[in-house]
Amino acid sequence: MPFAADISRLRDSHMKKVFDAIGVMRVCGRQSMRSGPRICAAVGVLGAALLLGGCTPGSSGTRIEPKLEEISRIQKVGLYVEVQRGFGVRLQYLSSADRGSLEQMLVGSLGRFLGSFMYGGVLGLLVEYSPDRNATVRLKPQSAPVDSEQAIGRALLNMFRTASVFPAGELVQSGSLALARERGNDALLVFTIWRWGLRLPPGSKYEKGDKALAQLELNVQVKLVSSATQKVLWKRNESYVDSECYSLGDFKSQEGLVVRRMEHALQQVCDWTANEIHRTPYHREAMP
Amino acid sequence: MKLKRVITEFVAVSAFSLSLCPGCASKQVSLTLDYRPTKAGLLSELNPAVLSLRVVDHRPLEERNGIGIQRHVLSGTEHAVVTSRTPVPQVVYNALKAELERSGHRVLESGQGVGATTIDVALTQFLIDSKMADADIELLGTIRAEVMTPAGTADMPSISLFTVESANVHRVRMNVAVRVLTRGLVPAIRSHVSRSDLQKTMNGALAEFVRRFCLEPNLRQALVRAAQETGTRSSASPATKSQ
Repeated sequence: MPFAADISRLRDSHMKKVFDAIGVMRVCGRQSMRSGPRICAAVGVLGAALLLGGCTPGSSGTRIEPKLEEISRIQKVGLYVEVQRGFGVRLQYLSSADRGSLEQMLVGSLGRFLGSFMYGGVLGLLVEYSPDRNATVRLKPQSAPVDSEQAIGRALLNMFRTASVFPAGELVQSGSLALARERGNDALLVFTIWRWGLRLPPGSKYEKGDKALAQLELNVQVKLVSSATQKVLWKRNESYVDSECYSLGDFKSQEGLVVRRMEHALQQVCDWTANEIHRTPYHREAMP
Repeated sequence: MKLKRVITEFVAVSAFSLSLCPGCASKQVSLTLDYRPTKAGLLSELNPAVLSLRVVDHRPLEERNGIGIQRHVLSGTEHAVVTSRTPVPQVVYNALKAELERSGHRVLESGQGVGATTIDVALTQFLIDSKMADADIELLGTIRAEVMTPAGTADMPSISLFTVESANVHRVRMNVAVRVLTRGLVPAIRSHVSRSDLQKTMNGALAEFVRRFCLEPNLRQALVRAAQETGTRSSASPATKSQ
């Protein structure tokens, strides 16, 4: 306990020195207020940056409930696919797949000093040479056939056609509602993939090397917007975690395994979309 | 004198290192899991049916004692084992029953007879895990189950209707800098994901599970048949009585 008290005293005296140096006491009114506004502004900017830095893609679930009546009137839909972050492996707690945004946020919010000291300097280095980064690089060729807007868009469009999600549809190259309307689309379905790749299955422990267990994850935001009224008819964040687990070695050695699991994930999301917007018991049975 | 100093320094360094280490894994954190039915009822457009509902625990034995791990925010090491106050099959049963009843269907309790159809839910996964994602802590709750109905034959007792998979992601701001500044370095390192966040994640996963369950075409089809059967039974009952 005396040791803890010493540490606490040391920390307190150190903090006092730091606060004295940056003039916090002056802001508190003990001394002159000359540098007060400047410090207040700095603290305000830092606080705002911290708050903004924390804004990331939200939790999963329905954001806007489907307007079923309006959706049932859609004859043709434009499908726009956007991949925010390509294939990545996230088996460790702190993963290389997330490094970019992490640094961006920390450097942006805390300034170069704290950001580079805490993350860029220490954790950043660990992440840079982490097994996740190596696995991502090694599996890139395997994921390439489905790791683009075009490939995902084509696969999804086929699935939407087969499952009769919409009577007709086409892949569009831009998220512009005006363009979608010009091409005769009643609505635009914006399919944003903000992350996909392999993750450690919940409840399992990370093992080094190819023995590590992995399963496919896909995080998307699906948004259906009317091209005539520009009203959002349905918006949902889908989180898909594959039910099948494989070792990392399997993903590396089995040709096409990543692609097959990704196609399965897209099919699942397509089925969920059908279930969300067609609430008739015989919908799937009635399809051609 | 020198030896004494070395020993003192060793003890001090060891004590400091131990203070950084996470606590024992024998700690437990219990969650109160419940489900609030939707306002309109996800199955309310179907005719009312009378059915029996059973939830059976098919999870691996090692996943029945705890539903996940409460981790330290920065290191991701284990702080405590997460458990559910109410047994997990009961939580799932209550949630499904509440949504079915909100939609106007009647779920028979055991001893109240047999419904027009029986829905068996074999629960295979009910887990929560956390991971660092971007600059947040990403909590992931997953629930999986296979939904079956009795086939009525000896060689095939039940038919699989569909599988329900729900994954709910809940993001918690990590705020490393704020934690370090307000609490100091050691408490910041030792801080862990809160119970309320874990609870929110699993309740979200439960809500997603119920949603997926209710929107499955095969379930809706089974309910349509059950409603027809219920209608037939109720219209046949007066005739039976008059005989």
